Amino acid sequence: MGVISKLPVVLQNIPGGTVVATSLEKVLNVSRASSLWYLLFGTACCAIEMMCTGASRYDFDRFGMFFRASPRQADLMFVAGTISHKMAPRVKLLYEQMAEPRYVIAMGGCACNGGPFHYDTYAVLKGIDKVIPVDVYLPGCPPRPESLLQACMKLQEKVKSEKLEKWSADRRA
Amino acid sequence: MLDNETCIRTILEKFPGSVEALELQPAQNAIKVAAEKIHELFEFLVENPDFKMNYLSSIAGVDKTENIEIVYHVSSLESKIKLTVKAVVARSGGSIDSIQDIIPSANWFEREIWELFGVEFNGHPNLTRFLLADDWDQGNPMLRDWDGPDFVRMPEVN
Repeated sequence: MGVISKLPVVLQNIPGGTVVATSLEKVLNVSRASSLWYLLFGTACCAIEMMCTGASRYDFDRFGMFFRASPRQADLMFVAGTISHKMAPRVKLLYEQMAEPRYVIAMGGCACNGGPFHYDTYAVLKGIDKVIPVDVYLPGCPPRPESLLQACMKLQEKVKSEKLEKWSADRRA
Repeated sequence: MLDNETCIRTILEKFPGSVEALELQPAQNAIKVAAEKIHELFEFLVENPDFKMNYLSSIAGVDKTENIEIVYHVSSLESKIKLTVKAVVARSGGSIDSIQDIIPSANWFEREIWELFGVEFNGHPNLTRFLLADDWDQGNPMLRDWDGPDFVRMPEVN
């Protein structure tokens, strides 16, 4: 059941050679989509599901995804868990420390809109999109590992459809 | 070893007029003490050889709308007594003596109540913020009538 990211059909094999011709955009997009290294960032119970997805039963490695403990080496951040108002500036700082292109998956109800802590709270941020841009919203409390894998596949689709001229643009603008 | 009734009676005799016994649940010792006597009471509880209260489980604040109740849960690992102490302070600008010089673990509990309820603890060495966000300027959020800019109240469900 391994997920195989097939090279685009436009890739042409030159007869007899070890050289292939394709577009730069496709090659870079496929490389990026197939090696989304993610920042370990778990603040609540969603992090347990994220760890489970990283372990052998669900196995992130077959997506080419490895956890990095430093935002400098990460392309993707799972915000897995409740973000309080006190934590929000730290999330923003971590996001800004990541090198572009950078992606964010809001994992679980808390990261999407506050989830079970939406009402009657003074402490919880009602959705991390108030602080950083989000690429994929993944509701659930917490979402199962299969859902997280599907969110990653959605993100891979998004990465593969990116255009060359937008790579350098500031995505916050 | 003191039983529950003797325990309450001893305290009532020691602090006549400023302590009353409360009946919360069976087998739970609870007293209500005048706020100005709280320091004296805890001095007695800690130093008296029959009580030897050496374990403070928690200090809680309760907003009773007309005033604020400070609830101390204290017990002893030696004499096996558990005691709930309640003291009432005013809702705005209320203050009570700090007990952190007697029981050091009260330090952070008192800071928390100062931060979330706005109750002053006289004699506390370090009443500074540590729970709310660094740039918090919206008052004391555990008060029942508190409201903030992105605060959403739970809708009525019938």
